[in-house]
Amino acid sequence: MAYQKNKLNRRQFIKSTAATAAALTTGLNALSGCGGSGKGGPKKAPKVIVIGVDGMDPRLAERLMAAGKMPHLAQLAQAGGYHPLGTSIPPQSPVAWACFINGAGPGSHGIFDFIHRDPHRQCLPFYSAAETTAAAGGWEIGSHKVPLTFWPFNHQQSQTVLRRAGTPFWDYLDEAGIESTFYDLPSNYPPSRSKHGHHRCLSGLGVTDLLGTYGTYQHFAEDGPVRPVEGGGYRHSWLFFENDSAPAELIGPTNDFLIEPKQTTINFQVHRDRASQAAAVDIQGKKILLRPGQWSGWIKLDYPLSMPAVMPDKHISGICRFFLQEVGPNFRLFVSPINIDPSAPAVRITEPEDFATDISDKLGLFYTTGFQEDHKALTTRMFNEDEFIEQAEYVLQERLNLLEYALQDYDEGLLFFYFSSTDLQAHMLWWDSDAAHPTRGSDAAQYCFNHVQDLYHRLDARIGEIIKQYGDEAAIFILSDHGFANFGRQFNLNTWLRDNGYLHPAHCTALLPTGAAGQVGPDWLGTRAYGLGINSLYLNLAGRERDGIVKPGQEKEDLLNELTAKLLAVRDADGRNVIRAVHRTDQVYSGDHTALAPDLVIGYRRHYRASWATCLGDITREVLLDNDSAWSADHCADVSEVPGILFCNRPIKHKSPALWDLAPTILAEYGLPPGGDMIGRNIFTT
Amino acid sequence: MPKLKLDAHLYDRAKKAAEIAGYSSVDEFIIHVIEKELAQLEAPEGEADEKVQERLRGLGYIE
Repeated sequence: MAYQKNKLNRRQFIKSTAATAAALTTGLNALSGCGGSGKGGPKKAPKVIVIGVDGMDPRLAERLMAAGKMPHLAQLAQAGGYHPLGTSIPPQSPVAWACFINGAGPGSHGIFDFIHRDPHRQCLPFYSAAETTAAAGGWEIGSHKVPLTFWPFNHQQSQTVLRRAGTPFWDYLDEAGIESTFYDLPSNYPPSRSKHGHHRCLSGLGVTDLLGTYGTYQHFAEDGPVRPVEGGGYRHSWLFFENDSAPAELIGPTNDFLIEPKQTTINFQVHRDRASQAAAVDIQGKKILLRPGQWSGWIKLDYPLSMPAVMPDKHISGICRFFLQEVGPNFRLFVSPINIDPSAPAVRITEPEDFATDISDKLGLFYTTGFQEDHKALTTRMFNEDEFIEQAEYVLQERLNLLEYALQDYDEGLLFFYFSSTDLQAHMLWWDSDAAHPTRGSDAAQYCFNHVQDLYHRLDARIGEIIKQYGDEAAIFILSDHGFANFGRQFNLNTWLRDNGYLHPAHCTALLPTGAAGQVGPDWLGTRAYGLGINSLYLNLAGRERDGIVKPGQEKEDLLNELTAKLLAVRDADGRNVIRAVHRTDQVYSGDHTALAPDLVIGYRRHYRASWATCLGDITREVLLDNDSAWSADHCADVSEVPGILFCNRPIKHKSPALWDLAPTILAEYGLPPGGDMIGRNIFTT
Repeated sequence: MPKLKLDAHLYDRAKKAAEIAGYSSVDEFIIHVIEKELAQLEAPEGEADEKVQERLRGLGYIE
């Protein structure tokens, strides 16, 4: 299939007008070694292909290579093109990919955990990589606000802002006139702007669904709760059939044009035929026929946002897939999170904006949320393992189609393509131990883990095709941001801090009490340290935290030393050490963006992780508990426990390559020096 | 009833805005603006905070 490029989009327009300027500045120098005008027209920039396989683990990859199950990557390894890849402290995806992006550590980009806290609001948590602000102002008419932006109405739209700081390495390519295209890039939502029109990006991890969440599925069942029950990532509703038809309601984005913002809804009907074991979903004039176990394709949804009578309603387009699980005796219908429609994006998910529609024009509709695998449905047990695997396989197939598109659209410069499958499938299916799995019998655990191994095998085959096609003309890198480990036991840091007298009072049950009966909040004036996020420990520092009591200087120093020593001594009931290392961020982070860094990063041993409860400050009775979730593998351990992988079709000479070494290596391929803040160095030099 | 002093230029701007927005008087407009600002400043943060926490639970890493 050949893709036409016959319309002048924003990128092409910027390129055409910026071409002269680019040639007169650094671009001329950069391209002189690899292009510029010459006989037969301008030469093209060299090809560099980077495949990101989130969470691909070196232990498993090495075992499968030895067993002949990953022959193509094994071939690279035999030629000196393989090394475990150093990851970030802590090894969490938003932190790690931002290190790849900046060619530097967390102090350069300011992302230290999935979750940060606001010290001025005494540790209220927020998502670290992006911030969404609520709409404000406007002209109020009746029940609506009209978005007049001029004084005195001063309407400000709700917007999401990228919190990653520093300079991404593609800015240097952009300035030098070198094309770069990224698909599903994490830690870059909303996508950063391209100044010179040579950079394109489809954002990945961090993109929300239309509800503004990281993926909320909706489930309808005859045995569902009479009043809908909502939680983080799910909404469960009851279906009541009359004459084999039942009304239902699909929630959508919030209408911020109302003075009291309200969630929009779409009413739909479900009809079932028990005799023929089938059902029809009747929604906005579309009739979707499904049999048990069958998924629909992508369905477009039109959410109208009501406006004042004098103005036409606004419309937001979303996409979802229906999955009929059972017709009877208990009718069950699953609806995927409502994704942003890439053919008519309600918010900007690509740079340039029309890149999303360019892709959609050729490929149709596809997942746009950062988390595409419906992991939440497995942890809530709305899916069984096979249902999760089927949905995850669909995601993989869709991304393989996108890769096909990406390669056919690729002509020169840098191409980055990302797979989430190796991460989210591993979280849910990985278990490489004889010990009991948190939720599965040993046969089921082995069956699921076999699927992960098969996934590695299949990705190896696809990567082998890329090497065959481009190996002679492109530098090809395959890298992961971290590895994986079983998650069998969980450690509640806040319970430990409370039980050891650092967090008061002794009967405290929650750092962030919600007002629920029986909850006891902290006494901040008696609290010296607290945990928030997955690996982060903060001192309640005077002058930084609103109610801080620990004095900077010697008191802080003594407390950090005391906490480190005691945490390293924590042992499980069987005598195993729980914590491998405790990192002082004033020693391991450098850069201009450390203001929100925790004071200590807890590095867990394999098999251990922060408890589910402690991440948002809930305090359980026990410090150490079994993990009881289908989310049975993780990587939020110590940096030394879960390195990533790096493969290349050229020998790697660097003795200990790490994520931040890729950016300067790629820039060097184009004759460009490392960016000013970069700490990494070229992996092809010793 | 307490009275407020306004700069003449600011008063003129407020008067124009009140006319555009359809308020019956400048007083009504100013009272409305102040009430709106106070409502925002005095709004309890609890509900919004809970929503943020609920959203974070959807990440998968937190249940």
